[in-house]
Amino acid sequence: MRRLLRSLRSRRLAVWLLGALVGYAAVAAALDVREAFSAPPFVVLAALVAMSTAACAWERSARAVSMLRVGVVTQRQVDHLREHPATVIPLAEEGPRDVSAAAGALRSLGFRVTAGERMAEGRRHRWGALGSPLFHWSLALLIVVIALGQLTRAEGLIGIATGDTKSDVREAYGVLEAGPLHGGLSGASITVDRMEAEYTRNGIEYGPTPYVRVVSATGDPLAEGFVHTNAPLRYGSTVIHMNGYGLAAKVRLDVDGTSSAEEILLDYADDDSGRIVPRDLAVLDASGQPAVSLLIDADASSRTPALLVRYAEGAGDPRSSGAMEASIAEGESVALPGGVSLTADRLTSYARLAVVDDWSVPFIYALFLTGVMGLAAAILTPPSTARVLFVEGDGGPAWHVVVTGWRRQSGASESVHAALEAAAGANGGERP
Amino acid sequence: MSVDTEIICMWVAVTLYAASAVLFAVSLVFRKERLATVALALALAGIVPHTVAIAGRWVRVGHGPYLGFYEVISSYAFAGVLAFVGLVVRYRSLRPLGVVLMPMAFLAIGGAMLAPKSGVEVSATLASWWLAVHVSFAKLAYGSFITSFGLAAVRLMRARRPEGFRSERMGRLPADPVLEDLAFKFVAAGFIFLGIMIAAGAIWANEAWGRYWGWDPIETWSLISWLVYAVVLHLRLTLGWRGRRFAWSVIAALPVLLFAMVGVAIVYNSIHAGYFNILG
Repeated sequence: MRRLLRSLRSRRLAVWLLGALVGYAAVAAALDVREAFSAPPFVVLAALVAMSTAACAWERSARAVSMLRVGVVTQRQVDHLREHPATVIPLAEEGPRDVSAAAGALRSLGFRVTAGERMAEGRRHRWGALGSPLFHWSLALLIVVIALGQLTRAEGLIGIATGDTKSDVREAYGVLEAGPLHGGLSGASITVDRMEAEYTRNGIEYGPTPYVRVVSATGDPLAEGFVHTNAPLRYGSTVIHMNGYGLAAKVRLDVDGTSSAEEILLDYADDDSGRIVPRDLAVLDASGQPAVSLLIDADASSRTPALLVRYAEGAGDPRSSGAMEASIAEGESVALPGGVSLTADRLTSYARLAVVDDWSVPFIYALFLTGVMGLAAAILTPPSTARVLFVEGDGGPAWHVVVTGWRRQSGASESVHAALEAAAGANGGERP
Repeated sequence: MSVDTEIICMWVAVTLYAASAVLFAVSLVFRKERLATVALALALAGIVPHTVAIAGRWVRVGHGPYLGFYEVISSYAFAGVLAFVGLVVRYRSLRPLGVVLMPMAFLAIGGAMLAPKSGVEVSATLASWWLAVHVSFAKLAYGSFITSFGLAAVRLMRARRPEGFRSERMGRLPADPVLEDLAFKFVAAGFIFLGIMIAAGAIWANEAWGRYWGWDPIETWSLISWLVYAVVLHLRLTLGWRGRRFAWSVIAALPVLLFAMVGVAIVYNSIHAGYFNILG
């Protein structure tokens, strides 16, 4: 386990994993294969990146905690500084014989100093030490939350005619994708009260826009409002978006004296032509054999909506030139072959709503925010430590100095050395 | 302001930026210090018609310079030149950076002038505050990365011929560690800005379309760019890459970013392509 942890926090491994992720994503993107981002190799790679990031975060957390412990200098550190100083600053004859002047110099540079007679330790931006671990923890958790979110989310398209209500249950959806760990749909009632044909807000035209109302399975109102692009409706972990609109036909089919109701949702074509995409409908007789085949279309441009029905007897092709056709307005019926009667009970518009149940989204945002804060702290306030030990060696009195920084900024240690040299009255330090 | 006036202002800016780029190069090659001053003055002069063109268009089309290739690239060039001038005011010794940055600005604005200039209306999808956040941080990110590229390029040019004809001018630049530290800081800042840009785009996509990520080519390549710069930061911070190796890593990262910004909209059928119209 310890060995695994050591391997995972390897800096080279982190770089290689990031490189592999870049390579994989670049190839998948170049070939425009989006399925590659849910394929096992990508999942494994992302999991390895998450584990490596967490291991790095763990290591950096330990380092950050040690940096936060101000004034705790071990004898081992003192001995090490005595024997292996990064810089030796000789003290002038009339110069100081302790570290008080060094402490003053460090304070003037913004260091928070704890000093004894022979040893001074200054720390600057010590809270910045938390930045890197915060960023890495946030990133690791982000990958985990995204993965859990994908496993537990559900997203579906539901078409609701104006004035109708549908329940948030599996059968109501035309398309539904639910993760393997999704807990089940809410059963809430979703109603489209009305559809504004030309909804305008703040000067922006949103086109046909539904007013949606959601009531819980126990009858409690949950949310309501117009739903359009950039204005979804939210309740709990569920968000309802406008996905599209079309025509809805509530029709009644009478076959051999048996009546059944059908809801036919007709969509507009994607080419912005205003054309309706016709729908096929096969009507079976009492013995289960095709009685009549229908192609339901609509005249979308007319002020008075009407269904255009092409039909062929039995399993015939209603698109063929020999097919018959009829136009029926709301409340009208047409007699079809095989003893079938089709009545247009109601012709109206419908809203196609995308219902997304995903608890992870706000957590993803929050983790990203903490990650950015951590990264900004790590970069803008990099922590640094300066230790100065007064030593009376063979070469005369001197300060042994070591300056460490989280990212070893160029220029940072030079400014510390310059200030210490000025305080020592020395001409310049020596770096063994 | 009419379209014609805007185009005239833009061509004046293109000309001034081009002249500035040429003079920066000539001043470096022939060691003419005064030419660099003239080049900087020309860059400053170019900002004036460029500002007028952007502001006039903003008023005419009713939105900022963030829709369509022409507006986006022109505003990137504007931000880049403005940042360069600001940087030179603060660090006078960074003036030779103009040798790298002004040709880039000139090529960018020149390329923008070849793209369709018709205004793109703010559609229902674009009517979001997240658009402003997304685009603002994109400009900050790209500006930071391009500046880091310039700093790394100058650092490498000086290292390549320390005793060459450019040594005197290059010698006036800050020391290598300072240039390197600045390049690192711009990469780090750009990394944050690009991350915020991607997150703002994801939040916006979730509001508009009901999904925060769809592996659309521009989304994917933006993420790849972010990961590439994560590699660059790791190379310096954890593997200790310094000097020329770090500079080369900064240089190598920029083409990926530029492809995400310009290339993807040309190569792929992306949902972003409509808003980033290049070919008309």
